Amino acid sequence: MPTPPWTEDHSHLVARTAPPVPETTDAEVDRVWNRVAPELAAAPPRRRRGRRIAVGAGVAAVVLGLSGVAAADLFSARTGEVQTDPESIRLGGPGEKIDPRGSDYEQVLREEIADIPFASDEAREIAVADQLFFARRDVRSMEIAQARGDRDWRIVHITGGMRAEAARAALCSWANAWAAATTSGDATGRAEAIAMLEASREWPAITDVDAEQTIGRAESEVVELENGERRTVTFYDNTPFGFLPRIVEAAHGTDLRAMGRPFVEFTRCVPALVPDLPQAVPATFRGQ
Amino acid sequence: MGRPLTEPEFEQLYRSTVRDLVGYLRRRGSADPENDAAEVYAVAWRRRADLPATLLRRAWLFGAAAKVLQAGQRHRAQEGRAAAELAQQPQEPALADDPATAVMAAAMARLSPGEREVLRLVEWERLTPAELATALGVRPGTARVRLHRARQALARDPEVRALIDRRQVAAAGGSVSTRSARSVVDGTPR
Repeated sequence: MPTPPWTEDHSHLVARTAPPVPETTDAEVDRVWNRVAPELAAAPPRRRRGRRIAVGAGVAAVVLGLSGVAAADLFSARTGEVQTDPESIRLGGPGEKIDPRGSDYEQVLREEIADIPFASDEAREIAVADQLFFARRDVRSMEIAQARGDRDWRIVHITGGMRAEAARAALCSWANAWAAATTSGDATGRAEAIAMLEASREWPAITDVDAEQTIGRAESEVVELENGERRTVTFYDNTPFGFLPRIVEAAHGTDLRAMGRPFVEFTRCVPALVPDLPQAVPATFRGQ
Repeated sequence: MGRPLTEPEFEQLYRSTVRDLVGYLRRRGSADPENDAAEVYAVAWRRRADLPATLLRRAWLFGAAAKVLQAGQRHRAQEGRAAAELAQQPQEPALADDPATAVMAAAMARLSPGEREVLRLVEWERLTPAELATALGVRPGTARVRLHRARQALARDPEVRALIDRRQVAAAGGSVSTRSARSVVDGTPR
């Protein structure tokens, strides 16, 4: 007898077996922190890896080991340096290195993402604010590193990564517009959102980092079933925007869960960008 | 992985994840969720140079929490107190008023501990496949295999098959069916 396929109903029923637990209170949050805080002063990191390349939020930031640090108000965020290292391009996207400490960082960001269409001006502002938040965090991290004498430690953003992050946010905004129009029966708004989501597959901000947009074959593994039968199971891996075809496909239907699912499984939407599509945010993050 | 988290970053991580982590610990029957959570974050701070990318850190904390819980159970077992304490910890919901959930909970209990935890991480904690791999400390492909096997094992359970079949029949006839018919299916009119 063949194994029945896994369905949404299975997932729903398993979720319902979770024991109900009380919400964690603010007092509990503070009490736990009071126990954790002394550790921060006491414990050095157990290990520090050698230099130093890492991704920040999404594909936008790359940490580099470079010498020379200048004061923020003396230079533009634009460095004129082009990212050439293949591994760094894979992690942070292609394009110009942008210093988040530059006093014109926000202006540069807005210039770089000006061609990316958002569903509303408000959505664009949310996306900009989100990237500025992470830029300020990176600046703060560099200040702390400097204060500790680690003067050659530097984070740069790459224009390709910044644009990809913005494009991801724009997709969230158009999915939300689609959801609002679908729910309210606004045929014109729905058609516009569908057209925009279809067109997004050709946005330069997306094709620059992922022209394929595929859930590609990753690996196969032989699985032995209970009846002794051996079966080869193939698993797939996705390119950065590999989820996009699924979003376009969902846009032609009317199922909000189908639209939200690729965002949850493959990427993230800032909750403020998807007020009409909460299915695009993991349940534990809704309302934040 | 990369540079160690700074203190402000670590506090931000704490504030954004502690409610989920305490909920996770409670759902796993932690005898002292606050103490266990504090231990998990203490481990995270000591390992701050090894933490994964931002979006995977919540899952990493769940994986660390599982180890803290296992260590606690071993410690109590060595002291001969485990059975008595575990008997006092309700790890499953009261299900008497929901037959469908009771059937599924019983089937979950028949799974191996590893299969059960994989399904709990995905369906209770809403982890993505990438997060599941982080929580389990395995490669993404391995995590997908484990999830696939666990789902197969549960879907194959005879009582689950019968339950799903009944619900599908009821759903297929839903447009012309009656509330009482649905009540027969799972005892929960929808």
